Amino acid sequence: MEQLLLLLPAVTGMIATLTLRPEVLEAAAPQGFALATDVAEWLVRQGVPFRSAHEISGAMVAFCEQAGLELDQLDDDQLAGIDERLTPEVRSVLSVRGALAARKARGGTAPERVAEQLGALKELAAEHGRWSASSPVAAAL
Amino acid sequence: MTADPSSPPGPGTTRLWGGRFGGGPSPAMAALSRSTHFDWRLAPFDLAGSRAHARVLRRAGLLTDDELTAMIGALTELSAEVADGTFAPVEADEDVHEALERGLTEKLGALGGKLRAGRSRNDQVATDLRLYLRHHVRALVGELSSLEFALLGLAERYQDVAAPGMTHLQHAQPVLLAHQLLAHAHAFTRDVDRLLDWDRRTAVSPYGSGALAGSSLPLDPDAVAAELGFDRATDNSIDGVSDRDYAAEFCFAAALVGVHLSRLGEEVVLWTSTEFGWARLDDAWATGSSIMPLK
Repeated sequence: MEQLLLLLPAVTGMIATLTLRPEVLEAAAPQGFALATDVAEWLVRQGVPFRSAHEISGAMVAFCEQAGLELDQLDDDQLAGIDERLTPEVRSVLSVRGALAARKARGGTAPERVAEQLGALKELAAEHGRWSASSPVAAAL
Repeated sequence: MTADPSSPPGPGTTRLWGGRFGGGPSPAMAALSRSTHFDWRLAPFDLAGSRAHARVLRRAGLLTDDELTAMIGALTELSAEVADGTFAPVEADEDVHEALERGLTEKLGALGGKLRAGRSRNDQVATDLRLYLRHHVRALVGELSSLEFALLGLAERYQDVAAPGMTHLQHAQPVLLAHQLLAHAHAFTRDVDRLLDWDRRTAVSPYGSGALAGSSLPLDPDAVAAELGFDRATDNSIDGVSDRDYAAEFCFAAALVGVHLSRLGEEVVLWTSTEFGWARLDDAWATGSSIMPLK
């Protein structure tokens, strides 16, 4: 108890004053072929079984790695060369914003889901603050 | 030293037992039994219990009005002296209960000895620890609420910033950084939820259980429970006085808070590293290395 009461104000202070660097984060977000899953899921939406979609997307990553390219830098011929089912339309999912927006089921990272979480968590945090404000023991002390 | 058991004992002679013993315990046994170095934090709660018990003794006709007034006055004085440090345990005090009875008898003489009727250190300490934890758990939840708000504030400030989501420290899928920050907030809300649920179960008073069988005196455990902010008194004196489930449960809930803090701390360590460079700590919340001037 006492250790937590010592520790928590310091953690809260550290978090409240943390400065993030959005430009670094945004630049890093698509790196490392982070949109490969989105390519596989795009193929699934085109009717390709996930087992094959996973292979095709993996081949795309391997090709890019060899060629020193990012996924969204492949031209139409290179895409078709990897697999004919990689039509130019695949580029529609090769953006970070698109990848985020697509994860819009409950629990996903889509901006509207995150905004909902924020709202619900604010209510909980306020409730917790209210609960902590009065001790049933205090009157007797 | 007088042998009259009704005379108030002087300092260092307040042992709460001994009538059936020929001599005192050996120094090694006394050292083993001593607990004031860790149970003194229970003192304000023990005194609160004593005031509630004194009122119950009055209603049972075991104290007069004047005696009750004197006793409440002395106990309240003692609370203030414990708070400002002018009253503290001495070497000869076995535990917080004995030290406080010494303080009371120093003020009231023989009247101080009437308070112990119908209670045992067993139900006292079982009650004190519940009171201590239930009182301080509010402060703990308050701190957790502040941390939740800090995380929500950070998430809101950078709500639209995308970040690499990682598994095994490898880029996996992009996420909103806010999503990752809120993951930690969710863990802390569960911690609070656990503590609230714990508090509901812990709001049962063991006072009046005595050592195990309750008391033959006409006491009122529910009145004590109400005065001390409990929902009710225990239904079974043996269970009431022996139950420490709440202590074990609290330890688990607190340990899990520690795990969640550690997870959050690990993120901050990574994010502020040169390799990541995602975040910067405010100088007010960082400490340096004693050998490496760059850190």
